[in-house]
Amino acid sequence: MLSQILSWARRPAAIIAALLFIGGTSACTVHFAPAYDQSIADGLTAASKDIQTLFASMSTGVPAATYSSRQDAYNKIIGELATIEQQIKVRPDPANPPSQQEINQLLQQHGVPLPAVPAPASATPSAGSVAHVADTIATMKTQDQSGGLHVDEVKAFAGQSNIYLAQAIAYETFLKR
Amino acid sequence: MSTLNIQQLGTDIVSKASAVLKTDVTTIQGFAQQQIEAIAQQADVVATGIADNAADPNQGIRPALQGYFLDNLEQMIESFAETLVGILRVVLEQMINAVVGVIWGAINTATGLTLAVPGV
Repeated sequence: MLSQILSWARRPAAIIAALLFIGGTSACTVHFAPAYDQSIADGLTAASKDIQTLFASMSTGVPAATYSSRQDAYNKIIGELATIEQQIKVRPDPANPPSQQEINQLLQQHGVPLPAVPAPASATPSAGSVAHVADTIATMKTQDQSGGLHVDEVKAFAGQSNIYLAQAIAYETFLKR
Repeated sequence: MSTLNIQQLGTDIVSKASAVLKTDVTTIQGFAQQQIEAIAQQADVVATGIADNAADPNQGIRPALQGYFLDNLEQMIESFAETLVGILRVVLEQMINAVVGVIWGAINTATGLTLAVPGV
């Protein structure tokens, strides 16, 4: 029992000690992710509400002839998302983010299964998710204006928006630590 | 003045790190499950929309949008993976800082001093 505990203690402690050394922090608190920003979280909540309201108004499909009644809603959402994306991008990145290999090594010690993923393009994935939401809404706006939207198209745009929104909201919420 | 109990410190480190990880993994699993289900549902919506349009051009997802939605099915999976990696970085940060707190607490106990954790 004691030898088992010592064995457990050595491996994660050794890895953590190595990571502290790699981080060059000399046992200081480390930061591998940006700081939580309440204004970004609030912005995502507001944009999400406006997006759900828009989709609810077109759930049975809409003709192009009625596009003008939705134009302001589209523009408001696209503006909100652009603001949020900008806020995320200007927020300082952490100074010494760990590599994917270091993360995998530490979490595999605890039996956490990990997908094979490429190194992230940025330390703040929520910017990419918000950009995808904005692209989705912009594409939907263009289609709505030119040819209206069938029910299945509204469903597809809604599903796509919500998936990317959930990613951004989940990540930003997790930063509140 | 007592010296550090290395065995106890090791046990405390494992316990603290595991507690941090256990809480976060539950949250992460919930997010991952939601995403996987939503992406599978989206794939079904797109497939159904394409089939409906093939049966009736005035219904379903029009050809001009089919490629767009199909491409995004791939992109949203990549985006999901990148989000997961980003969240794991936060977990790792929390784990390391929690362990630093355990070590500093043990040092304070052993030395009888009250040393603040650097950087806090």
